[in-house]
Amino acid sequence: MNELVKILLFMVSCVLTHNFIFSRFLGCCPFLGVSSKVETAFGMGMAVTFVMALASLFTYMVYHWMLVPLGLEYLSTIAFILVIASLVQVVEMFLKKSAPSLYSALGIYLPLITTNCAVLGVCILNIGGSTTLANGMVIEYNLLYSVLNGVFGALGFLLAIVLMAGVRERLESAHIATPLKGFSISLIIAGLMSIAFMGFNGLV
Amino acid sequence: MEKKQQKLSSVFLGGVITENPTFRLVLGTCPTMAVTTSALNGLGMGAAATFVLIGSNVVISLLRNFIPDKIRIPSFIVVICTFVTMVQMFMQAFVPDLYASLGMFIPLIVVNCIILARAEAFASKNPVLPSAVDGLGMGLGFTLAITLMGAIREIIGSGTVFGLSVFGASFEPMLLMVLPAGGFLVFGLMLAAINIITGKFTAKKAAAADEAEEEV
Amino acid sequence: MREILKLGGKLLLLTAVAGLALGLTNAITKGPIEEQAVAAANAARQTVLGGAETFEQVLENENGMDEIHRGLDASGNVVGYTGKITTRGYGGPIEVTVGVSVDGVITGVNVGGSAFSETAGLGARVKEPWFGEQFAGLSAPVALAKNGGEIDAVSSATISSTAVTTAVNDACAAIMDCMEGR
Repeated sequence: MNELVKILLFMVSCVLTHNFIFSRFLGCCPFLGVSSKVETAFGMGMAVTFVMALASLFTYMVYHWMLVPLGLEYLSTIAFILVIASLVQVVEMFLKKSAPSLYSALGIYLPLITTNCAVLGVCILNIGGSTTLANGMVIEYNLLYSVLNGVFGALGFLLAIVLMAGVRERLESAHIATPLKGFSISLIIAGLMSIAFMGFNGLV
Repeated sequence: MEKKQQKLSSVFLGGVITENPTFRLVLGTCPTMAVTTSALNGLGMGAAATFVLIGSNVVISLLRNFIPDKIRIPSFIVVICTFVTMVQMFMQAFVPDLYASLGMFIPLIVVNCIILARAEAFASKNPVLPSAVDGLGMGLGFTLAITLMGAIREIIGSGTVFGLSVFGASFEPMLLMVLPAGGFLVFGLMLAAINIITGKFTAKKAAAADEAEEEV
Repeated sequence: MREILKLGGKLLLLTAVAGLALGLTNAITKGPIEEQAVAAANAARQTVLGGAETFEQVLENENGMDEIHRGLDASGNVVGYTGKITTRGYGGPIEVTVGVSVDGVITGVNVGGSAFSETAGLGARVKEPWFGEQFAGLSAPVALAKNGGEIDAVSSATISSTAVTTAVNDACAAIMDCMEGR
């Protein structure tokens, strides 16, 4: 029971208060690049969720069961990025063979994920140890919470990118001053959304 | 020789100004916004990224005939990652304060799109010297951009620049600017400002061209 | 098949060279990194217990403390104790070093640590000197102003402020135990 409450609180914290985009600045490139349509944004978000969950699991195991016993913690970055890159490849091949419909929906986003800093970011955060919620509850990133951090963090990313795409779809028919067109207006919108998300601070 | 010199300088200037990775190509946005809470952080991040860019460009250019096309992306990533980890260890050893304030964004240089994009688009197709110059130019362009952004956010958000007080003690800093929201807003407004400047510039050029035509 | 082997072999070679280069860098930087950590800990002790010239370690990794040092002045008299404790902030671990004089008054508080990752502009401000200076001259237990105490929290950073304040109290209690044990 207690554990379930903790997981729920952690989820709210990851999605709303510690949102990867709005409070940690991780994954901004796809957030700006792939957010012109809600549909593609959703596809990207789902692909990221998939990869981030797996990456959290595998990098946790690689770090704690391989690098730490061997005293090779300084190789963590290179190990993580290789795990992520090969994971993306494997997922791509697997989906192509076994779930062609899913592949056609997510396939084009998969190669982009290797350089999505949210994925490497969550792996580095996971080995960082812990986070504290507003009620003083301490979350230790063990295997379970590392994976949850990946999943919930990616869901936060999904929420952000879909919201952004929703706004940008409407912007298409709006009059925007010439200098603000393109990335500029998107960034300003993101800034305003980030202010809105600050309202969640102290929630959990 | 003369011709080659000119080419190198245009490669260099391309990185700093006309193809500025931050403002013109809008690459590497995450560190641009995340670490620019102060000018010093921006400078440190820029220096680290520049070192990695030059190193990876040189090595990838040297290896461009050795690396088969099929495995080029993983190979590039391994090279980049090696340099990033080196920078990480050297910073931890010799500038620990800066290392602490840049935090996890040092290892995240690996996934900075600028570096992979230069490896793919330039270093893998060009000889060593131009690749090194390209790395230096792009790195300086990135450094300039994020130091400027760090300075703006630091001035408005904390009332200081490089840690020195600008407005005196009575200044009430606008905290929002050093928070994430400020990062997005400042970056957005800076892009708009750059658009205005380049827009005026190209308009002037077009007008000058028109005039020239009329005179003819 | 042969092509796959060739590709794999090249990638393996590249990774091996990379690993070698990193191992070499690690060998070079390992010493300086450790020295830096020692120097930082020394500097922290010096700032929180200004009257002391030399420090000798009393305990390590005991009673919830990372370490406790006894501070001696030039003529070898005990002027106070310093304790380093690691607490959990909003973003990760925070190292707090507390100096206490022999009569139980807090002489200074230093906040930092190599893994310090509080939010810039908010929680990270507990590192600023004014926050630590508030503790000087007080005796444990101390509390934040919102709980009726003397310490002003960093605005909008209650978690980080509370973490440091609690750590100061814990460190003081451990140092008191240590002093009474003598």
